[in-house]
Amino acid sequence: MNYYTLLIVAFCCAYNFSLGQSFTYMEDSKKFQANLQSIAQKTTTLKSDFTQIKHLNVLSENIESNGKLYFKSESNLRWEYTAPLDYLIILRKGKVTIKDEGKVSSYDLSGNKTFQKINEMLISSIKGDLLVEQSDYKYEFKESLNSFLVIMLPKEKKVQEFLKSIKIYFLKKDYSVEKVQMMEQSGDYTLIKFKNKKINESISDQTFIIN
Amino acid sequence: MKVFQIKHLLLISFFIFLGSCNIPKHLAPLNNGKETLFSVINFSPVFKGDFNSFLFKTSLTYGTKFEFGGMLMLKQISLDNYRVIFMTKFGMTMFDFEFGSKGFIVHKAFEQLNKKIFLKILKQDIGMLLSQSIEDDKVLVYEKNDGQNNKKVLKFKMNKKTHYFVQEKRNRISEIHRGRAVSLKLSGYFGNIPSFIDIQHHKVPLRMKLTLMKH
Repeated sequence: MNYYTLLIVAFCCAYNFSLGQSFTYMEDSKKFQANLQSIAQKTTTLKSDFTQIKHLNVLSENIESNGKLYFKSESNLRWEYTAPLDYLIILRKGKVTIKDEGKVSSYDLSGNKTFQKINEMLISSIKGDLLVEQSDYKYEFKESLNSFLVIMLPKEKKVQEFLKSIKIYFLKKDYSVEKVQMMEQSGDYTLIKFKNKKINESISDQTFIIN
Repeated sequence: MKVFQIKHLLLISFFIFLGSCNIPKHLAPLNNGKETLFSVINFSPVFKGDFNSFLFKTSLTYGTKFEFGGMLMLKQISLDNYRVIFMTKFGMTMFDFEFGSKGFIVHKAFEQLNKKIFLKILKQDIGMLLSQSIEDDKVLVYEKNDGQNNKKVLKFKMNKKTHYFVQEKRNRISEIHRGRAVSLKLSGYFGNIPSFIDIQHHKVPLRMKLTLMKH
């Protein structure tokens, strides 16, 4: 392959990639939602590694954390940071348990509406179930060659001060969540990318208990 | 005449007592201080000169009332400007402050933290750590020996309040005190950067612990 052919191939690859990443409004968002809901209902367990990237405009480099997540239906969630810090949060039976530097603390979610909403939001985002409170967010549905994108725009002014939007990217091939991006008004953002996803594999209940 | 002398002595000892009340107990007494000016010879600021960013694992506790865990990013953005950003482990920004030539600027503060008194405390505490604009200020330098190490105690005024630096070898700051109200302990130096910073208030149960993760 000569130099010019190589250049043309590289250009075509880059063009195809940019096409794959450019999003347009979804033609049939109701069909997408129905498919997503149906898959979310069939998702009983989910294991995944994740990379969390915090972008601050003031910093030249991003802050990266890595970890693992485990989800088991109905609402058991283990969210564990493994690097650069060890931090574990478990949501189970209406309780949140946190392990930080060996210290374990538990909180009952039943008396705290904010925590309840965060709990719902977290689990819904991971499962891909978007039937969360429509009154709190305005939804936009987009798609590219390989992905679906749901943009959630907060309606409450208090939330808007801190959160411009939440973008959830789904892979078209299996409707699984590929990444979640939380945009702040300042342009700073937190991006969580999921990889090595395993859906509906057995997960022991012990995973959601801190010893 | 004798009565005058006794009164005079009492008055002097009263002022000495008042002055010593402000000294952190373990540093008292401080004798034979030499007055000089802050300079590169006697003072090395902790976070100055290399424009790097420092990321600390951070816990902020107020007695048993609340505990926030997260990460604190500190960056010198220009000669006299610093940006200090505290975020939760999930990445949400809780506060974003700038310390610099234009004073203290709050770029962002989460509603629960956006209280005048709380912002004032954070401004003072982080201000102690950054110790900006004290070059060329007057300072009293005391030599101390605690039986193991020779230390220097630097007494000076910052924002009209008496502060103390405790310095060990190579002007490394191991303690910073604002009277007896607040103390900062800096340890586990990695080069010129402390790996651990423990900010403890003594009149309120407020404590901030920083552990260096990345720089």
